[in-house]
Amino acid sequence: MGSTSGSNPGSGANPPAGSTPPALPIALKVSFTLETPDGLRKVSFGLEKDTDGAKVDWTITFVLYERTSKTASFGDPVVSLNVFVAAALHAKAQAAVDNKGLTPAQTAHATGPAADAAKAAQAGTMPAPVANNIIQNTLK
Amino acid sequence: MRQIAGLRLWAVFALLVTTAIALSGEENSASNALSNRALSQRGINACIEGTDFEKEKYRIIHAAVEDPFKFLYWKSIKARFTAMLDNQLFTYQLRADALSLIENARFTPDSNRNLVVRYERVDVRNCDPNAKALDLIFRIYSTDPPKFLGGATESQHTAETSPQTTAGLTQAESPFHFTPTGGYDRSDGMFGGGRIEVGPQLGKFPLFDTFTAEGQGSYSMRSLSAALSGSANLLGWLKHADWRVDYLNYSAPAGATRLKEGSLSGQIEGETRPFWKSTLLARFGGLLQGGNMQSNLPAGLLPPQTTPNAGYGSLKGYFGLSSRTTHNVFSVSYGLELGSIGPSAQVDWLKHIGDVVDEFWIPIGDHKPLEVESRFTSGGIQVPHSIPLPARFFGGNGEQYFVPGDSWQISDVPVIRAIPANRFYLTGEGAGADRFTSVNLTFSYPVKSRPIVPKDLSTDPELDKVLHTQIVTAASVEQNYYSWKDPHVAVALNELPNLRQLLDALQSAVNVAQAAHPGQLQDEFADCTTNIGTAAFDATNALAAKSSAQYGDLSALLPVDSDDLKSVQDACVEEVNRQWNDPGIKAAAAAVDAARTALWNDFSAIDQKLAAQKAAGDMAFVDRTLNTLFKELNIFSISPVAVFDTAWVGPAKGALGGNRIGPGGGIRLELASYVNFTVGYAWNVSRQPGEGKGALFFSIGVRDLFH
Repeated sequence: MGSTSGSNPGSGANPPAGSTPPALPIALKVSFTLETPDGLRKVSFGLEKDTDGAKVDWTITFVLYERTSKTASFGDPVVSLNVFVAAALHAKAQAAVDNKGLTPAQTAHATGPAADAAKAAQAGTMPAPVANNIIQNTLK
Repeated sequence: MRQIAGLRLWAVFALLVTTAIALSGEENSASNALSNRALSQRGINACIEGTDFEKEKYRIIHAAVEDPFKFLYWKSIKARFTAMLDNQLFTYQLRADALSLIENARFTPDSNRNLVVRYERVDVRNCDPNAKALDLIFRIYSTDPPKFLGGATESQHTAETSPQTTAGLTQAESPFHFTPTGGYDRSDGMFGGGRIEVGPQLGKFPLFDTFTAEGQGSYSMRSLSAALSGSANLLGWLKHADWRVDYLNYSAPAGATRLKEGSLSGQIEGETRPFWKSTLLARFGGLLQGGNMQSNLPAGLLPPQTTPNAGYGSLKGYFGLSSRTTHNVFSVSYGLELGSIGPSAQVDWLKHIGDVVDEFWIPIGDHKPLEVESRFTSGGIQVPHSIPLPARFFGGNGEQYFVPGDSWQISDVPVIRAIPANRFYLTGEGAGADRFTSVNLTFSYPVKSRPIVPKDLSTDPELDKVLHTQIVTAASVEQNYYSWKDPHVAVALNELPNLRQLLDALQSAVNVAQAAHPGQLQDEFADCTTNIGTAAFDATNALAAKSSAQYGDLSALLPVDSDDLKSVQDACVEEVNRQWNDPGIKAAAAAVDAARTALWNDFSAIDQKLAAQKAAGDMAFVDRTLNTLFKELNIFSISPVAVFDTAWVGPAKGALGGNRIGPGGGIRLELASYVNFTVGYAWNVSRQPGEGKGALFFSIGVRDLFH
């Protein structure tokens, strides 16, 4: 076995004999399906963390489904897009995963303004960067 | 003859036990092989954060999947997964491809559920920097439970026999389900049959989402039912509604006679939201039924005011309460039937049924619960005119329910496992009782078991987090709905048309100011315009939306969310007008700020605490059911069973009717999603002339063959 001396504190040091070292996460995907209580709109809000060596990327996968009646099927998504999370919001993204669920404000934002912005961007009535910013604001 | 039948039965039982243990062992070995505690045989090394395992050419020595519901899909991907990863050079693309392979087998693209939380994590473990070797672990925690999990005792049975249904992981399965069933009873002999279910969508029948047909038969009995059923989750005090059209036809021996019935019925049921600290829910329903009942009993044995054959109509009403706490599920139900013979609308008989069911379990050791199932049932019939014989009470070890369907099972016969089905019926007035009381107790304790979620996973904080995440997120959605229903939201929404006008006025003032300062502060001006547009977008969508999405659009304007109106002030006043000091912008921005304050005052008056309480109450039953499923239930168990029944039928006279006591014992085997059966023997210790010493009871349910 090779020596791991000089590794990052807390993650690289070999554990004391007899204990199992913690696994090292190199990818994490969490997604929340949020359906409005009227059953007409459903949002899949996903957070994906990729670790390629030292580089960490966060991506939001935002998929919107709509239907006109509860008896109809949702069918194909109205909008499906990936938004790279700005570095300034990485801590917020991690918190959303660690905080044991989305808050009422976050779910309200995802099913309201974020869904509307995604549709507007798809329709070309809102610039994509503005829509992406609104979608990222779900994490605030 | 009975001895031969008994020997055959025990032979079948032994075969089933052997098969089930083999299946369990297969599951067990798969689990062990994939446990992260038993990966490669190298020494255990920590993996160093920041290592680029692809660039440093690490090789995957062992790959594993940790998923409580791996048994649903593992066989279908095991070979590809192993070939893809074992002893391969690690690449990030390979990691992504393997995760896709699992996802495609595990999830459907568009689930119809609404509480889904997926949690997927890829870990490296046991990294060896000298040998450039590592183990790769894919951890999949996801459940997709229906928001409505039904009443207390019936939902517990579903969780025990089909955990994937409770967890909502049957989406990838075929819409066509076939489940063989069978059993043995001395009255009916060895019987077999099955249940076909087609759902969840029936295109040509928009009112219904499931078709079910069920049949069982033997040399002496037959039973057939077919039903169309539908359901809806609702938003008010009524949480869920079911409706069902059912056809039933059966013929069964009952001692000296044979009971036959053919009927068509329509029923509707409702279930309230939980109340009283989210520990109780109420259910109610009604059923209209018509058909005919027949029997061939000699006239001398007929009780007074009883006819052997008749066309009939009946109206049933029933209601009840259910409760689920950490280790107890409980239901109490009352049903009333008003029956009529022939075309006249008069009430010829009334039947009252009371049924109390309780199941509690005390964990003794890890996943070794001592379970106590108890049922108390009582019934009475009043006959102002006349009643068909099959409508009277015929007891024994056969279960019959007051209304058809699985979602609410109200027992309506005296059950005593020591007497064959329909053989406990002779009273002081003839065949068929007009009153009864029965108590049934079943005790079980698993001597061998394997949990649905292995211990190292069930104690993993990540799983606990995912379960909690799911409930918290679902409750957040519900809370927004209740907040949206608050009257202060309507007041705030009424202010939005004025806000729109004020935002337009601010944009005009900014445009005028920019025209007066050509080429200046272009980025700041663009930022101001974008923020005005975003706030206007929120206000417009809030006014256009018809549902609780209004609440999210309204929130986005205010500090509770992204505070888009504050962003307007920051961009237009702090960035642009601090330099221009334009009076038009200043006045227009102040008006927008005043509108924001008024809007925020209205929003702040929403009773969020009440909304949160209601949302938590809605999720309480789902939360408790999932906790039980993941932390306490077994996927495989063999349990000795002790039973004790007592039943009384009347009117009693001498040896006719009266009380019977039936202690007994047996064994229960449950291999969730594969098979479950119970076999045992109960003694009729207070038997009367003409009655047997006891009876064998045996029932079996086999896994859905299209699963």
